[in-house]
Amino acid sequence: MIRWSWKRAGVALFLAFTANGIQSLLSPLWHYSHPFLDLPLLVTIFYASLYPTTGALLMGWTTGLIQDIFSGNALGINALSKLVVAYLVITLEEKIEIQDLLPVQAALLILYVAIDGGVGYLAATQFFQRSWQGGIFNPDFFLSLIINPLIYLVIFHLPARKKRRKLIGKGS
Amino acid sequence: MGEKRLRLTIFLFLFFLSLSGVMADLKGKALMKALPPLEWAAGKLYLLANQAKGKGIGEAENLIQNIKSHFVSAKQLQKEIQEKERLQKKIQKLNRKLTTYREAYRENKKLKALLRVKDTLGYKTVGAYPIGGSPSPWSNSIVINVGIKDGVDTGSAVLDDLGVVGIVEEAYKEWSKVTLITDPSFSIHVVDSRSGVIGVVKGTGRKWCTLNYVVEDRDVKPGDLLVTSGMAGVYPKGYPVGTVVEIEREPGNLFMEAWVKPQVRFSRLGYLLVVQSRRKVP
Repeated sequence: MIRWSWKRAGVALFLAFTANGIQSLLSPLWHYSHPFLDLPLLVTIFYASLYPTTGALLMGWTTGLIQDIFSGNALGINALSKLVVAYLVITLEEKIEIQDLLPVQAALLILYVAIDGGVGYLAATQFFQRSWQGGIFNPDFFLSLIINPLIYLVIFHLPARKKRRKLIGKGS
Repeated sequence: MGEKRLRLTIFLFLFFLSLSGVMADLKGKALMKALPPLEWAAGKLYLLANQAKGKGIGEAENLIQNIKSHFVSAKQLQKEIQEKERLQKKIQKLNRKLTTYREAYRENKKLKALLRVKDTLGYKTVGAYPIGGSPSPWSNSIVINVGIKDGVDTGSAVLDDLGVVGIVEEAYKEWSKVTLITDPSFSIHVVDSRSGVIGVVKGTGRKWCTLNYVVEDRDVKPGDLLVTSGMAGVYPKGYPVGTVVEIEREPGNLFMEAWVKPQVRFSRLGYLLVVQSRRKVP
């Protein structure tokens, strides 16, 4: 069991704000349209897999809430989807050691992005009657299913692997 | 209470809190109104991030140049090579200057075009530029650097020199949120500039929009320019919105399906004009 730490909470909050800030600055890249890269989601997954505790739930929810406040259109949609994803990550992390299994991690990442997109899409269409051309199965969404896990693996998985290899090398 | 039970309790609590947030938001943005400090903080963060971006790029360029120059001077000791290095540095400096001038020239061109638009519009307007975009996949919106103190209000039209950009969804003291014409919640009444056929352009959440409520046999062709009708009084009459790119006419359907490419290039969104007052300047 990981204990509560103010430092970690601060880092989590910083990560949540930074991810949203960078995501906002990157938005001209995808013409202010559906982003292929969802940094707040990646940060949520990363934090939840690193610290699979109740704190990660709060972190995911806060990240989503900040994303909602930044976007300003529908408060609660991203908070809801990130919360569900964080809960799923924590639950799965307890059952299997995902960090070292690249294919399993890649498949799970696709699942997380799909769930985040699905929950967000459902909430947006059901509550706000917003209709996306092509629905959830539009090319932008499929592209985000590939790009997000790839970026995640490059940013969060590979450096850790390199570090591990270095450690193993030292030991042997 | 066990860790798992506590987690489930918190999960359910936050889940229903989010749902109630969505519900409250549906009923007149009640929660958003209850969170003005957060809104204020978000706005300040947008401005800070925008400033940091500009500064960060400059610092990174300097750092790269410093590292590069260090490696060159460590390797090359001869006088001639030093001279070459000095000249190279000069060229780099001049190149940087040239880039700045090019950027200024581009900006100047854009501003001149906007000034022409401003003069022809006859409406009271204020200049603005985007300081951030929505990080959420479920909205196509931007944040601009002008707010209530600059005379911007909810419902103000936002234009650039090419066409309609969107509408001010929320106006705060120093900044505003603009819903783009590509957002699914956005719709605008338009007229075909060639045939005079009227219709409604709606956002799709993607790069292109759709033309709706146009009866199947009406005279609309690919390449037709759609302009604002000026009916609701929000947008100036005859301002470009988009070009028809594709039409699907299916027998048995009352309305045609048409894709519209917005005139505005969202990837190069620069200076904007926000219509302050819907009354014409005398």
